[in-house]
Amino acid sequence: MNERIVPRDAVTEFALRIAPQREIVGPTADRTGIRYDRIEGPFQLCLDAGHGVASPKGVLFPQTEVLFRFPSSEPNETIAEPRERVLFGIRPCDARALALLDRIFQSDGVEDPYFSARYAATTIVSLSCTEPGPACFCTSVGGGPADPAGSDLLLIGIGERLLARPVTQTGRELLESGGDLAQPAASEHVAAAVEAETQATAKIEPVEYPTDLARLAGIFHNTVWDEIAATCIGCGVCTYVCPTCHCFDITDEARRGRGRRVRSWDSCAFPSFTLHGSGRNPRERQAARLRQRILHKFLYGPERYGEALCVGCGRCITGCPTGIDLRSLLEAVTVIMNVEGA
Amino acid sequence: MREVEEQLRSEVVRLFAEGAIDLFLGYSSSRVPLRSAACVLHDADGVARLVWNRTCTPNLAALLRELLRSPPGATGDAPPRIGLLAKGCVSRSLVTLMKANQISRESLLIIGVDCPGMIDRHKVAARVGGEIAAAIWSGDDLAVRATGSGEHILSAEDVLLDDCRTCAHPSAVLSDRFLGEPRAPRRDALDDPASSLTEAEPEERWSHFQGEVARCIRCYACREACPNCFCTECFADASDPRWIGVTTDETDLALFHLGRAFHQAGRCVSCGACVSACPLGIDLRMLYEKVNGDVKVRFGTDVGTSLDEPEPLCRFALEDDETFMTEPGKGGRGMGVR
Repeated sequence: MNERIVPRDAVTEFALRIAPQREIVGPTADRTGIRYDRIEGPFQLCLDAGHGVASPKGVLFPQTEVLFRFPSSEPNETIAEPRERVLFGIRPCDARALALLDRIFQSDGVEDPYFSARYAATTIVSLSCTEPGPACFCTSVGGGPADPAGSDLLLIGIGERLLARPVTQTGRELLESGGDLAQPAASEHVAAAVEAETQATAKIEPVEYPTDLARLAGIFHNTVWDEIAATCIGCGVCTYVCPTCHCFDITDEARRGRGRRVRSWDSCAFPSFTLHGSGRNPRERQAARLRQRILHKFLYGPERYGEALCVGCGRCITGCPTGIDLRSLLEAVTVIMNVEGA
Repeated sequence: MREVEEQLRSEVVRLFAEGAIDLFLGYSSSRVPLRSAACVLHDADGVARLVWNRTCTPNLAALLRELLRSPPGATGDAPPRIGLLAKGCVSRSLVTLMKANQISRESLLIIGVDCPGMIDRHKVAARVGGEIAAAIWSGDDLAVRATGSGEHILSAEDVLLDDCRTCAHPSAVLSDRFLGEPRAPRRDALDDPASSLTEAEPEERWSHFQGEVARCIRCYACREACPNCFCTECFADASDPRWIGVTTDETDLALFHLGRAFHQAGRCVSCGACVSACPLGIDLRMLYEKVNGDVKVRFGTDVGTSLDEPEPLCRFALEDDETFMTEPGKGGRGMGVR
């Protein structure tokens, strides 16, 4: 399978070598663990402190983005000349999430040119998880600690070495340019990678989530939503740290005919998300908003794209200020669905 | 705390049995290490889930308005009688909310406790340099296993929330039942506004502030976790007029945090719920401690400790010193009548 072996202590050198002309973005040490930032030299990459409070989605789908300025017909700089980038060392769940976003941002025959241009110019080198976090449940939603989906090249940690497994043609070419830093892998390395994946998988607690879509739709009016939302305070942490949440708002900031059109993240957890100009709010209560978030991921997502819009990264769980645990919510909803859903 | 936790469970069972409460608002255990969750009980069945430990950081008073407005499963028109667990800061939030006519005393059955101080999850994360995979308490010591960096032994005192470190009223100041022994207010802490902003030079303060708010993702967890943020429409959300932009540009971020801070002057009970809620670990306390400390010094108020005393910024007295208006720049102080 053209796999290679890269020494763990040479990983930054490897990253810089395979992407000499490109910007490298990867996990760097931060007070809350890691954050995704530009890598320009040694000692910056921080590969063993988890996947971070915030996901790398902001690299390709910035929280605030100026679409264009007016009066002017100049397109946004993203579209004019997308930067060639390597996203290095993100986790398989996040790589999978970016692939999902790519599908969403070009669904119904309408392409989001801003995201698409960035995604097309980005090469993804992901790193497998050997120590899953306390809220990880990727294995329950189709992923895994060494899931190749969405990656061009996958690095699997085996002790002091990394097994580099190309997933796409781009990944193969990237690995070729690693030169002597990427030696051919022996069968024992491949076996060790299988073992590492098995061990990591065993550490992840499975979660039961609703998969019977008709029955899930059937409990839309159930009181279970009120119960699970009782302690939801309506902040946007879960949606903003989520690697697949992608709702946005568009605002014109204008003064005397000059200004800019800005796209910024929005959140279904906020009352203003659905507030009509008339003053009516179809999602008046927090329970309706939380229901929307869960159904978008586990009902509308599967209906439209054939898969859940959740990669099981657990960020909404560890980030929730009042300790709401998506795993527990899904289990509670599943129980009710099995009893009540028609 | 273990004993109080046991007492709490039996007290809640008794309250439900007597029909004294319709709901109980407390803390339950979490599947995430070193965290607790806010929890609402409808009957005594879930009482075993209740916990009282050093990770009970959310300020439960922030959840009351929504519960009183639209109680889950409520059928009648009458608002439910809510029992809740109140540590010192939560009880002071209840007092401020009552004075602001946001909640009524009659709708609550307050179970007061003394609080030894809560741990700051961001401090723990900074100490261990990774995600907390598991944690075990042994008295006040904490063994933490972190992803990527192995095991660490910490003392609760080392990772206490700053607000808990300087807390003057660790015991509930208002309650219907008190579990355990109340502690007298810590008078030494009262005189310590403890703001990291007060002593630094202006440039230094500004750059610290800018560096902190640059981390903000505008999730508004700080606002929603705060009992004081009860405005029907926040200035940050208003679209007509739009006071601040929606972006994460420097100006918008600074305006949001400065606006929120000014609204906390003389009202913040220093519960640390916003600090705990912030996913990015922003030093939000610097601002609130500064504005709140100023009101404390000038008016001699102790936020949330008296139901009778009017709020400092909601009263007017002829004797109030007005030199700050008539002779600006001369350091006019002592606006309060005290």
